[in-house]
Amino acid sequence: MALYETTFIVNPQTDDATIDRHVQAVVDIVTAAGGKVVHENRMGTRRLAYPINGLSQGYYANFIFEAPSTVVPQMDRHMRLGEAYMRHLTVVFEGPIPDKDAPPALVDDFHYRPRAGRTDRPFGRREGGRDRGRPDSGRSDAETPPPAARKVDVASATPPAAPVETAATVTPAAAPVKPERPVAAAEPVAPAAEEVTVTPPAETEPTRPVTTPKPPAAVKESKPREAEPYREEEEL
Amino acid sequence: MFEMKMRRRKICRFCENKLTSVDYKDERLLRRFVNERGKIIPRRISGNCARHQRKLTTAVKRARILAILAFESESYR
Repeated sequence: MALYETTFIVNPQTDDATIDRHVQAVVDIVTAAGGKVVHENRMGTRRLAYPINGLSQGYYANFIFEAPSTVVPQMDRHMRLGEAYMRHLTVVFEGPIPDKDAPPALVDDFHYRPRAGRTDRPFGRREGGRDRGRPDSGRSDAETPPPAARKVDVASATPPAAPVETAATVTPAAAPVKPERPVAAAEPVAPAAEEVTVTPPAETEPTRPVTTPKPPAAVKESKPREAEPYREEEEL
Repeated sequence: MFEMKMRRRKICRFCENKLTSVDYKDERLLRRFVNERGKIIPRRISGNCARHQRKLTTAVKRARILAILAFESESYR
């Protein structure tokens, strides 16, 4: 019995009951083989980074389970043949098992990420030759805080994979700031909360919580910074 | 001139927080290590240690498969 993790995407255009049925079918394969689901994470409908089968959204579900290895090819076959499954991925699970109370690992950030300056880029503004760890801030290195200060911020901004901190700190910090954001800190499995709401791109400049002082910019750019407003971002 | 000369030695963020694994489902985390075009940022710029850069790379690639991240995206210049 080994720990595996599977994540798959179900066609979201069907009704909830059908989606549930498809998700449950996968769970049943695990239990039928004598396995046990250790952690369940329904991430809900989320926008895809690229269209799959012509669809731009998908219902994500993730399970961590313990089962004999024979389960894996069975699951794979089931999801490969099933038309409702758009993508699936099963891996050997590494890392700490997340708390049941931790917020979902996958958050639909796509519509809520603040984008200072240009709002038509899907990713952060990072350019070659710069310290990509930080968005352009327009600040000089002189303003960078000493590493000691950075540590504080980092500890509070660790990804949810670390069971201790972030899960509780990051999301709650973000929650009051963005009222439209559906993810609440205490709702681990709430498909409704994950629903994709289309936020107009103009509505971005946030009040993202200013967690920290910016970490030391290790790179001194040789070219002048663009005059883009600093995008507050929680540092890792 | 060459940024490497002047760069202070960066600490690997994962090592600093003692994170052993990189979650491929964590879009926010992964996106920080990917540039505008969706390409993975080299270690010499991100400051990651070799071990975590490798884990990060697998995580990004898995995320791409699951359409959590894009394989490539246009950068508007």
